[in-house]
Amino acid sequence: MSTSAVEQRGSAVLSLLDTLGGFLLDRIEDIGRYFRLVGHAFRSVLFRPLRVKEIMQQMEFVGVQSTGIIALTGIFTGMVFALQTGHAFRQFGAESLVGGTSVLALVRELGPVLAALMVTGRAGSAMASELATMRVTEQIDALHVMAARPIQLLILPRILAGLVMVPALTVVFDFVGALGSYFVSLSVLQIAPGSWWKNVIEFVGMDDVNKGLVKALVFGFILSSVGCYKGFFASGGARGVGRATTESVVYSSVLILVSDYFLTSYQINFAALE
Amino acid sequence: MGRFPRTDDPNHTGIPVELRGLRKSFRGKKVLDGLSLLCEAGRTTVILGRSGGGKSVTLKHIVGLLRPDAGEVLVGGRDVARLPEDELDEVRQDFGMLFQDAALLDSLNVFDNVALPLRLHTKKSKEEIREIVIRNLRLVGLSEDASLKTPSELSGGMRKRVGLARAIALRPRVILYDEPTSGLDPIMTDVINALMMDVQAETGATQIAISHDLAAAFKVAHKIAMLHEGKIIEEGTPEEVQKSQDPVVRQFLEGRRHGPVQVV
Repeated sequence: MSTSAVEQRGSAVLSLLDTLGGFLLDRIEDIGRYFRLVGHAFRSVLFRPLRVKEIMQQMEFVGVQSTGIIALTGIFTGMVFALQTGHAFRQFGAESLVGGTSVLALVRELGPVLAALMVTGRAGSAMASELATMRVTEQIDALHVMAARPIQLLILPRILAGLVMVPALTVVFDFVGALGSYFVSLSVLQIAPGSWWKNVIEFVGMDDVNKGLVKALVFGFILSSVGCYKGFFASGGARGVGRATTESVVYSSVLILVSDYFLTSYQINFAALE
Repeated sequence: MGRFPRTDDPNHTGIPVELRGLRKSFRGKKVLDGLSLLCEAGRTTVILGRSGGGKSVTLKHIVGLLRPDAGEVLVGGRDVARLPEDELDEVRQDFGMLFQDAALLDSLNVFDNVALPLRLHTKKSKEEIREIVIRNLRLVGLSEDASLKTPSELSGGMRKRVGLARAIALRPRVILYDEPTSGLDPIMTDVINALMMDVQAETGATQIAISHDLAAAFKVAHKIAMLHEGKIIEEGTPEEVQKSQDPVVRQFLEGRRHGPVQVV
């Protein structure tokens, strides 16, 4: 091989390493910035005045305004789950297990995950797009210049709302989903109400509900903090706002599903140890 | 008493802003390359330069929105480039800034936008705040009716005037203007220029503006500085800059396509 060919290949490898290194550095910088933002937000709890009005507004937006959509998705999830399990269990003559199975699946898995995904689509995306618009129109810079502590004013209320409201919405989802399951079990699957209730009480304990709520708490943190992070550091005009919104939904959804596996695995192993 | 009454504190006047050897790069691209400039207390300094030449970056360094790679930003003797965020917030209470598109908070109406700095940093009563807000809006030529509008209902010129009313709400000692006249019609440009001169004359604040609007700059400035390739290449009174023999300054002032700066 001639010297120039070796040089050419060498420089191609170097430029590849350069690109890869740049990509990795960017990701590490991203992660560092994310944790710094979240850390600042939690530390800002210490500063007075605490923005109670903004916190209440976000709770209302994330929680109260999501109730309808959560109830709607919850009831249909409970109904379809009862229908599917009823159809499968009938083959073994075990329809009486529908109540316990569907409610257990709702409180431990479907409730927290689906509620969090719905809130990601509704409120997480809105957090990202609103903050991103404020960033690209220099409103966040203006807050900095006015010494208005934009992290305390904008980020903290949103993360708190996520932490409180996603578990609350999960309870709504669980409850309405159980109603859906009850309704389909009685009307479509012809299961006796007493048998449905007995099975639910036998299978589902307070411990299962609590495990689901711990998940909801983690998911609420993920969707609000990722939405805030993506919005707060957006750049590049209208396209930047669009990108921040899309990325916040994609990253939050993926992180919710990935962390769900590890949380479930931890909860199962933890229960085994007990 | 003037239209912009001073505060009760006789020492509450402009403070000097000095930039020393500022360097800043973004992803390896040098934007500021050893920029030094003194903006004297109680005077209006206009930094001229081409679009994308680092003017906004310079302004953001003064108010601590960006930190330099090297150099100092001295505001009344304190280096804001090295201050922790909490202390920076203290210094920022001496600043007012008019952003290019005013940067009004669109979740608040005009009244609340102007009232925000007062609510954040003073213990004034509701009535006192109301009085100041209405007075400030009148000063920039807006009626009380306008105070209930949202920023999206305002024209560009009105937004800038509300932005100015907000910027001067706390009687700042340093007022920064990011392209104060860009995107405005000639009459509104003159209104903003006149407001800048009035505010300066009557509050004694130090004013720093970045602009590429030559007519406006020569009208309002006590000092003009020409920024090119991350450095100040010429500075002086408007008359001195007008007579500059620097080829880049001449090309900029005469608005010529050909010269030392080649775009295409």
